[in-house]
Amino acid sequence: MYAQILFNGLVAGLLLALVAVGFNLIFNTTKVFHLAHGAMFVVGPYALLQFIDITSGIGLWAWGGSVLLVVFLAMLIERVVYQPLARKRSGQAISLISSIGVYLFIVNLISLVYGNETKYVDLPLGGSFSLLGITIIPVQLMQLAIALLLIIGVFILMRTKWFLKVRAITSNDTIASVLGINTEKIRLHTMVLGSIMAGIAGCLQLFDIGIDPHRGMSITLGAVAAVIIGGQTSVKGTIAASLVIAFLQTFTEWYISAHWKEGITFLLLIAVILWRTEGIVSFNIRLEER
Amino acid sequence: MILKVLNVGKSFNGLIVLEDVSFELETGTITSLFGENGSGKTTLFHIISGFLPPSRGKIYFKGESIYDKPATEIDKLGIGRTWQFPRVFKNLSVLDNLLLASKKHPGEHVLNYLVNPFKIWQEEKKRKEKAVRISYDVGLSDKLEEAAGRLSFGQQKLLSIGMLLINEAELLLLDEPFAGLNVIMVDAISKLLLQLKEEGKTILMIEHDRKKAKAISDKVLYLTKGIIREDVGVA
Amino acid sequence: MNYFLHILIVCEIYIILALAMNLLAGYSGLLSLAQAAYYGIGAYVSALLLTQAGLSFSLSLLGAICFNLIISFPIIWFASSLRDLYFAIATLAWQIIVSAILYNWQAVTNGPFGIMGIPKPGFGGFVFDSLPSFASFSSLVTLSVLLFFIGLHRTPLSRCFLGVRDDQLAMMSFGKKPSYFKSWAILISSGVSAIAGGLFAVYFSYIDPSSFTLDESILIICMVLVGGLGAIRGSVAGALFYVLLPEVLRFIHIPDSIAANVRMMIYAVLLILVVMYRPYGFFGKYTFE
Repeated sequence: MYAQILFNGLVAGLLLALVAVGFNLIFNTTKVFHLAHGAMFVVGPYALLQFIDITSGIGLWAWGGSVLLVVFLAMLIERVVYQPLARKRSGQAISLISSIGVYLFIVNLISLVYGNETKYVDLPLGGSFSLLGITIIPVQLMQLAIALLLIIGVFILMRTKWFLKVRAITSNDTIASVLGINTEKIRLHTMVLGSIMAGIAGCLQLFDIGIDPHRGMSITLGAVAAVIIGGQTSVKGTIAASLVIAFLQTFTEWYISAHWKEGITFLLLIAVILWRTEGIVSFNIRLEER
Repeated sequence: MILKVLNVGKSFNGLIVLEDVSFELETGTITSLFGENGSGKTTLFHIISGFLPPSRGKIYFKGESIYDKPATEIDKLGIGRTWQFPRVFKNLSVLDNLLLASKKHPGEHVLNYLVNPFKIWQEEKKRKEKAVRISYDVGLSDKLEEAAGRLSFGQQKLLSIGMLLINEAELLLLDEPFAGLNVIMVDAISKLLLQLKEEGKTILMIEHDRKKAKAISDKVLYLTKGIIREDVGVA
Repeated sequence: MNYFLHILIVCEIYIILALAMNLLAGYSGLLSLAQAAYYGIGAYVSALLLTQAGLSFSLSLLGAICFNLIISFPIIWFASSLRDLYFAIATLAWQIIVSAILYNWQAVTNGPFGIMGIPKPGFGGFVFDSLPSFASFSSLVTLSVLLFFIGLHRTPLSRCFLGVRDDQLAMMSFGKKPSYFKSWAILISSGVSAIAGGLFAVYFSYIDPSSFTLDESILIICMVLVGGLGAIRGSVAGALFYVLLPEVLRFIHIPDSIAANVRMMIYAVLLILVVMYRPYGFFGKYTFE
């Protein structure tokens, strides 16, 4: 029983971690509270569906097309909305609102074209089997493998020079740009990378519980919770927090009811925000003295 | 003696900013506080005005200990301050800025609207008249309806001094009143400060322009390495 | 005729909501994403008092307002300890929690099935059950709310709200506690939202949780932003604009099946355009930094 919950939690947690790490990268470099990340989470699978239709088969072409579309969209959002706002030195509240606008636009466009019903793709991977008392669906194994691969990829990226630039921008983008780092380029990179992760996470969900245009928001909010609980700048913290949240959600699902899992996630989020962030005054005083 | 600071120290996570600061201010005097950048002058202001708690020491205002009082209480006792970069309410008119600075307005309390709304309007009218009077004192009478954010830097500094006047502060802590201003503005503010001194206000100011500051000061304090040194009778 | 009366009533409900939101976002600088939560709680409490306890509309509405005042404490708490973005996130989380409660606390809210058969309001034997009479009733309520906010705008209290929005430290240095004014802005705003909720409940005589989700909160913020922060006529214009736009779409014969999506897309584009090119909206006096 516990083993089953742990396994399901692990798979869900790694999917959440993909979204959350993407959000983390984007939030730290662009400082945009990128709720439109949830739109990327659904753009990926819908593009995949469309390309499966076109190429009549789920192969490299379909995956590639889906990823390319996500990349294109991410670049479009960054260039058309976020970057101009950043140049005007708009605050986080403004970029949050603009991001909500982007989210609403994309999601409603998808729902306009493809309708609101949940879409699935059945992979011919065979039925579920039992291992050490855990019922495992082969799709879950695939999700686990791809998610792990991507996360390992991120850890490798974290050892590159490129990631040093990301860290520099995270801590202070003005100084970073004075030091000759092309902040706009790095912003674009993280935007693309983060969006790909969200898009792939969405695709993975397509094979399992399915996707509808409005699925993105709740997982993004879960990712937000993970990023804040995990300490905002830390990728490892984000991953750990994603796993904790997913376990918590799976437990709630199992023992209370699936309906309460969002409520409990956000109760945790509120508790962490109140506990971790400083008061208004101390923040302003330091601003004054800078 | 209006303010007495005794052995005040402040450190941030082990970094000592103020070592041991003691001084006294007499009522109706102008005192200048000099010191290098980062010597802790503004920190001292934050501590006196209640925005930062001191690590140790004692502060008395008119004989009353204000060591652990919050900023809002300290203002009510009669200590007003300005900020290095004038903190005015940018989107509000000069008149509204002055009115917001005025103290103990019955209209600030929601329950008064139920108990005695008439008194609120009476008081509001009185205060408006006073705000207009003060706008003449600080030379902003023709800008009353202008948004404070649209004023020039110097005018914003004048406004923030005006706000202390309507606030009826007895001790004025001015953070660099002359910095970034042209000669005409500096003269105007000097004149205003001397006039305030005549009216019995006490002024403590942080300044980098030593000549201009000494010209109107009764006393000069130097803050170096977290310790205060005093020079009396320069003026 | 009935069509126009219906539109009028819907407009009025959103005008009340936008005015309440404006007090938070426009006056006090608090970007709350939980406005629909208070709208919904107001609707549910008044509906329950009407159907279960059998109280009159005015008493139920009073009950709903009082309940909203009590349940405002989380927002007050957030406002006193969090700054802008984190305040927004905390209120967003709170909105989702309230939505979850409305959906899942079936014993009280009847879950996704909602509450049916909410009676129309009446006074002394006369019941506002025809559309014209209800429209005049709701207009009266809306007008009182509007006059309340116009009156509030002229008080020294509203100046203090604006002061808190512009500079909290300066407020403190003049002896005023920012948290006191924020708390009152939140209390007034959630109380007024309860009025909108009550009107909504008795007008449609049916409520379910889907009317009070995060999307609704976002919609209310859109109205206030497009209309312009800090201006009463801005909120009114924003609400009118947002309610009337889909009706215009209906006139140009966009099929119903996609109308909702087209509408949201237009809202979304407008929101982005406003934020990017016209941060003060139609009539705004302030914009988020």
